[in-house]
Amino acid sequence: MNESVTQIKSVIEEFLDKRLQSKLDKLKEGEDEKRQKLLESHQPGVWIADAAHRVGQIQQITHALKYIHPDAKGTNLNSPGNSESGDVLVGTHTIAGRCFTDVVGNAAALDVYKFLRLEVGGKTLLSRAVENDPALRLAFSSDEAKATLWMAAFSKLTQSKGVPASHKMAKQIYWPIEYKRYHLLGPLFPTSLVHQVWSTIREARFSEEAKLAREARKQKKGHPRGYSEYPNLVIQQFGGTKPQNISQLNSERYGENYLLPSCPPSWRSDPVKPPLRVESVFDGWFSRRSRVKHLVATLRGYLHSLPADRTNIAMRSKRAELVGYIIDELLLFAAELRELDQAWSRDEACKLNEDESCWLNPARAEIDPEFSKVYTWGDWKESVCKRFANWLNAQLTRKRDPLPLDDASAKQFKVDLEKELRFLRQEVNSYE
Amino acid sequence: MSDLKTASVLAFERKLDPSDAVFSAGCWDDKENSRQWPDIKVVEKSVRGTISNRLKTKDQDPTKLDAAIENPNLQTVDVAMLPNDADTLCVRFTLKILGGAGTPSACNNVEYQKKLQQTVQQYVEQSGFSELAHRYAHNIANGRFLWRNRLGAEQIIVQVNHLKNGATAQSWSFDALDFSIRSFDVPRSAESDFMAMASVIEAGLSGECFALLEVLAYARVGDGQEVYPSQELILDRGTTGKSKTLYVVGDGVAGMHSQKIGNALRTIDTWHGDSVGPIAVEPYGSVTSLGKAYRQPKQKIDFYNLLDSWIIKDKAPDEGNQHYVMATLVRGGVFGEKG
Amino acid sequence: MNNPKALILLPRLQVQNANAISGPLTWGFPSPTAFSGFVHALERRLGDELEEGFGGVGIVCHQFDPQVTQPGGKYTRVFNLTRNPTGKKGETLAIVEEGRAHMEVSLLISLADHLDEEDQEELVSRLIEVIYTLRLAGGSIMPKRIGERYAPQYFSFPRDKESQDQVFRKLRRRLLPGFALVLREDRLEARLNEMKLDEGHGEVNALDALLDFSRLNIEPGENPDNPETAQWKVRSDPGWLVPIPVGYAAISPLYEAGEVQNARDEETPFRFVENLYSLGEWVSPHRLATLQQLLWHSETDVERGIYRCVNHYPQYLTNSTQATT
Repeated sequence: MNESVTQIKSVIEEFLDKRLQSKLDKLKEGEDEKRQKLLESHQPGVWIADAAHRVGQIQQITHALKYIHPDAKGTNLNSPGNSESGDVLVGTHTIAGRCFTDVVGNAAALDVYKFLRLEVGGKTLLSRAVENDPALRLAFSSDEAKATLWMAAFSKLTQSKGVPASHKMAKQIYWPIEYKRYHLLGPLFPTSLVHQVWSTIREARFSEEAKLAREARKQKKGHPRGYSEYPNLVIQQFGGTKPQNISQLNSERYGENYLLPSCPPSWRSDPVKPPLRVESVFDGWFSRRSRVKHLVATLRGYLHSLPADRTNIAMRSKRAELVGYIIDELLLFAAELRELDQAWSRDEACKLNEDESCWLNPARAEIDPEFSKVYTWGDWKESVCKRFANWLNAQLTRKRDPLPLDDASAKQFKVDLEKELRFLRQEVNSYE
Repeated sequence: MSDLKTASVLAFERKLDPSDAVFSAGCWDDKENSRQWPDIKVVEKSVRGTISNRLKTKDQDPTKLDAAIENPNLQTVDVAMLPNDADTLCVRFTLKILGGAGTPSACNNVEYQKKLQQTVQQYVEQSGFSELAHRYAHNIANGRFLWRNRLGAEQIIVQVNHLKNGATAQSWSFDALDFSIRSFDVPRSAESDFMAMASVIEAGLSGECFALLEVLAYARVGDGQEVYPSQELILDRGTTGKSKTLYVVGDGVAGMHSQKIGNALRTIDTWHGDSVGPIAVEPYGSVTSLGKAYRQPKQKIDFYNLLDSWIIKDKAPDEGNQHYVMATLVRGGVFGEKG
Repeated sequence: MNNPKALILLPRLQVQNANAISGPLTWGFPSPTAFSGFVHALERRLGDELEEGFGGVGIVCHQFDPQVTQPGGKYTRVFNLTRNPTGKKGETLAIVEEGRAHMEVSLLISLADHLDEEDQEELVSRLIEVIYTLRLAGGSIMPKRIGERYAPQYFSFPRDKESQDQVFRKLRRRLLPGFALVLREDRLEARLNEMKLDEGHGEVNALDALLDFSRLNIEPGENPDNPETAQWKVRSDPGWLVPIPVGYAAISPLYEAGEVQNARDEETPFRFVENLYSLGEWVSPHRLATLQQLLWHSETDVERGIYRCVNHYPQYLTNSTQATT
């Protein structure tokens, strides 16, 4: 134990020496009185006593209130999250045990926090204080009463100050428990978890490793590892020009938080316009839609990546899934147009064939008796499905770039495709 | 009652709830067909900025200045204009007027809430919401919500439809330029229509349900003239960003933020004692554009002081400030005790 | 409630300025908890008209218009903010960033009561009055569109599964064009397990798996035509899978009513919580074979401190793919 006492002492001394030196360096010639004061205040016994006094001004936390509103004061918590949430739900418990800790409170007392984060033998001074480590006590002072007092003060770093409190600006949610009974839930900002996400994304965006990989791709060169992009991030700012007022980690994040997108696909919809001047929507009109373009390219890419002679269940179902998404787009496209109330297909500029007019402009049947007949009795439903099948086929089998399928696989693909088309036919047939 | 304390959590929901306004363009004589008018789209425009910021001393070398002038900073800004064959801007929004003004959405002190409700009840019995409704109605009729678009207009008609179950139950129309934006006097000729509209608003504020108005304002500003939608507040404009972004609704249509409409409608506070005229109802009487607050806590005429002395000390403010306090509750917000 | 007797469709609600910051890790569409909260508030307002009350809620989004801007020359976006009133000295106050979005959503609510025709009409007309006085995800519901297609509607729901599915298939067409939000915890778990098997990943957790769905992975591969160069490929998931907050986990004991200062009231027990995240998917409504795939329910375990919303979309899939017919 004596060994660790010596170790702890020397780590503390080194820490204090460094702090002292940087302050001494800033002194001007002849400021002897100040110099003397600094030397005294950085004596371990003196400094630690003062630190034990100041530690009450700060708190080590994982969850903070202030992010919700800069004026919000109340309970902050140091918590490993809720392990009952399990392995699949994501929360602070997901990274428990190896997460960054944050600190809130008086920024002038942050040196105390740095002191308590010092590690000796793989353990921070803080955890030694919490565990009531006798080596730390001996290292602090030979005066046992004094040292015990300091230990107790430091070990309170993770405890909430005062009575539990929320704030008028804080979010509070009534959650129904059973008939007319509620719990009020007060969400706190999980700054440790957020820091994990922020660091991961930051690494992907700006690390040297990522830069090298991006460069390699640009030059079409090989590289031991790939990289990743996080599209559509929003940067949320906390604390304005003074991020340190919110918390220490917020300051390390430059006051930024990366938010991942959870927008619906309708976020970037193509505008709904009647297809004028085309004979068929399958002459480029439908395939110009951004998601259709993307899905067709993905499907084609996937088909080309498959081995020509064998496909397993997983490959087949992924293929079917992709075709399914394109069919979804078709039905969405039709639903958008079918919703328009005007008889737009009667417009002179509209060259759309009759089958597709019935499919996309049912409103016209209400005012156009001729059209209504075709709508009710015609076989446009079948014909529309065929047109789509032909279109899809043309998208996938290009003369210059045929699909790498042998006969058996091609047959298999046809069967799978037919299954998906059946779904489309069912949907189209159920139009009223 | 002397030990009554302000609730530490006290919040009210907004009771005047306007939608965003959308801009369309057409001809003055074709107002009745305004629903078919085309939307006004926001477009980007390049402007050649000149060097107007003071150069740093080290840049004052004449050759450097020449170089700087040859590379004027090319900026883009958003603009919205009427087409060349349209002289009239149509601004359309809907306004929901919700009942239960004065009933908090959150209050964590039962005694306080009781007292608050009593006080509101007294106010309703004595004055009702007629004064507030009158003033809100006035800000619809005078077209204040058009903001800058009101300035250059030669003629302005505000048409208001009272919607019930999806249909127009009543409809009124006002010549906005006949209404002052400094006072709340109603021109004789418009009196009966005005009273009818104000009573719908009053019923909405005091009622259990809500009233719904559709407002269509026509401002004749001249063929091809510029119009003024809301401007976006974007803190990070990036390196090549444009210097002015206008608010668009849906597919690039020029629009006015609902907050901006709401601010115009609640510009009814003339009870603050200054000669500046009506200002928007705010807890400190602050006017962002002037960087000034007209209701200083020092003079005890801010919302918090007035509310406290009314509820806690049983000292009712004068009639005007009672209206102001109620209007602040209609505005809504989080008002708990400090701390 | 596993056996709804009726359904209420609230079609095409126009929501203005809804909160677009759904949690500390995500922006965009509001959390399912915001919708179950809305339905609960609606139920309370209707009060006596319902005996058994509402069950789950289906969420379909038709339009989504977030108020964000991509600053020039940047890869990331920022929120468009609103100018706030100044302080008492007329000074500008620190801006608290609030993300906003306008959206058009349809909600399908399951009902445990069966109403006779007169009560149905009464309920629908009450709904029209009440909906517009409530807030949805912090936004205002604006009566923007008029017409039968946009009015609330009551549907009786038959007892046997087959007729139920038939009614539902008809109904889901009313949800087009749009996308339904469903829960894909199964996919998150599957990805987590894949990543665990994958060598070189070291210790993996559900956060890594969730992030994997949020990014494009760009990976080098061999170029068969030219071994000197490499062929880089982008790996992303074709579906529309997004991280979503699904509820809250307690991180404090349950405090008794009145024990926590500045709580919203003094009658309700209080708990500090944090957001819980999972994986959601936006699916086309016609992929839903049965009502249960659409509905979200709230699920509470007070003992374990879990307050969350669940949806059972994957349980009704016929095979591992999306195709359900």
